[in-house]
Amino acid sequence: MFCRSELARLAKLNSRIEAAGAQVVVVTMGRPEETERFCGERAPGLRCFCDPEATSYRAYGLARGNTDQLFGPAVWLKGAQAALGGKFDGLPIGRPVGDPFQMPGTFVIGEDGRVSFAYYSKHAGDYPDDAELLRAVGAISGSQTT
Amino acid sequence: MSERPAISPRLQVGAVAPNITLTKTTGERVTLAELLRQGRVLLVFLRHFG
Repeated sequence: MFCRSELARLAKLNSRIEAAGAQVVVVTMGRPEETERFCGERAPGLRCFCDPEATSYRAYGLARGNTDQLFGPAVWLKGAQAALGGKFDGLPIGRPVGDPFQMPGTFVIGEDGRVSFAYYSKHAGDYPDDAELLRAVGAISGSQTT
Repeated sequence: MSERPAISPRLQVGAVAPNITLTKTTGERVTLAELLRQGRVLLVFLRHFG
């Protein structure tokens, strides 16, 4: 469910990210046709890629979550906040595509091939907030909020 | 039952990013290095979807 709200948020921020000279690259664990349908419906302007074996997730140190990270109070709270804020798109949740225990993560890679930002989600609904994301790509300066 | 492949250590800022290969929705494959030729990359690994 959080993947939907994260994709919608990235689509909303995409023009500002691109204006800062960065490109959004979304990785899913779906097969090509599943990913095309999922991204095409929710974020047609974003570039989505597939990794059904989750090889790239492991290469970036992204582990499978534990019970607390996947179903703990922080996850329920984030879910409730998103639902109240109208950020969930298309409930109820359908059949999961990909490993339901896999944790997400967000990185910025510079043109020199080095990591300039690394965010390992603390729980299933945890992603960097808008300001953190925009600062990471240089769309806003250090002291600015969104 | 086959063992799950090992997970690499977490990446720190300044580390060289693993040059992963991803599959486009068209089925073609592309490396991170190729994507970086078009500029910095905000790389977002989503959870499962459905």
